Amino acid sequence: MTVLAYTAAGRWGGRLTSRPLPLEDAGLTELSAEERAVLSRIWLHRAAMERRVADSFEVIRGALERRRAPDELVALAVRAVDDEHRHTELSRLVASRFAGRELPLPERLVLEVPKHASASPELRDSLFVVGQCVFNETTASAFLETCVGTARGALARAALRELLSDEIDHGRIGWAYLASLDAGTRAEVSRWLLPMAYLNLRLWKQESPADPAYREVYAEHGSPSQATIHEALVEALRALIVPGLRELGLRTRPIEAWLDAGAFTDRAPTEFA
Amino acid sequence: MASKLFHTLVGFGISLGVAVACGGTSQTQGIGDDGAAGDGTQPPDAGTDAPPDAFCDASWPTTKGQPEPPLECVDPLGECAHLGYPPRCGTLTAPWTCDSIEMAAFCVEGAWSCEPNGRVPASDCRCWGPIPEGYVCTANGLVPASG
Repeated sequence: MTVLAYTAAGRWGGRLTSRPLPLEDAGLTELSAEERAVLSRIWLHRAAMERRVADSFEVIRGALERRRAPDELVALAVRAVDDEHRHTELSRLVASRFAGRELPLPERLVLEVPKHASASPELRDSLFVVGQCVFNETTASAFLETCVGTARGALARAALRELLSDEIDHGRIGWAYLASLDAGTRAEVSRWLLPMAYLNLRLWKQESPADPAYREVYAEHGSPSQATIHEALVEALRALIVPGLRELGLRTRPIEAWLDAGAFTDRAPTEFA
Repeated sequence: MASKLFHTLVGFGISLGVAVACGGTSQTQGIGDDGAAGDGTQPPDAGTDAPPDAFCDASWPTTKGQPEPPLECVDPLGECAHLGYPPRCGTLTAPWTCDSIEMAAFCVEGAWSCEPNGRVPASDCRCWGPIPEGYVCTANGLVPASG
């Protein structure tokens, strides 16, 4: 019933994961039916999100090809599309295990690509790669690392580790691409960093809203609390993204000033631009 | 933990970029073993501030997260629990154009529905919010009116 969109050309030669998911997870039997239903919905929603990111990487592949990026980076982007299809199926499988029955793939989510309206077509391509890989995928890696850190369930830990190892590669595409750019292009990109950091953090926070019915046991199965996630999101900016951008000579002072002001996302931080 | 991830992801990525760039022309400095970033100097400003429209743009959709909204609001009886989280809906204001407020579908008789009030699945929306002057929204998104 499930259409497997990943291929033998992918990372694991057509297999879903580097190693099989554990067949047993004693922690699942200790969950109530309600808790299993909540965790199932969370993982099934993640399946839909992963499917949409496969579409994102199709856009990134096109951007890299138009900019004549090194072949190695284009190849990584091609593989990332396959990775995200595997992540879709992996997340659906985990959701099904929590549900105790086979679940169908959720409805496909719409991809809205950033417009970067006032950028040239050439710069827009570079901003695509920076936005998706440097900001989004690096943040995703920090998010997953946090999830792994709190997860105790065998199934969730195994799935999260598989996801994390791939997301790291996806983030590397952005950092490698930035490192391959000339100083002039990097200076152009610098102007957009604060808006992209703000929009990326705002969306990640929106995707992890407060849940009054949250239970700590969810963290043991891959779903940390809102407070834990939000702390990790800001830490990703402080400890990963800003130092990397600074290393590459991009202007990070506006982002740092916004971070020092609390990294608010209830309004645009235009005063730091 | 962040320092390890910095080296694994950011540091490795930068090194990869330097290695594959033509002639190794990248201007990055090496990343120290302690994870410290470069020499801390900042390049000169690009000359202008961030473009105003940049703060109103879309962001790349996240790959992970905890979903919204609380399901008791849109599926109080749990009839759509087997379908996962509800799709997003928009209100059509013009052909292919929806207002900028997205809402979740409601569960109606075991299926997600964007009705009532003329809402449509967000997958039917190609543009959001007011259409800029000189553009029209089509099945392929925003295009110049002259095109």
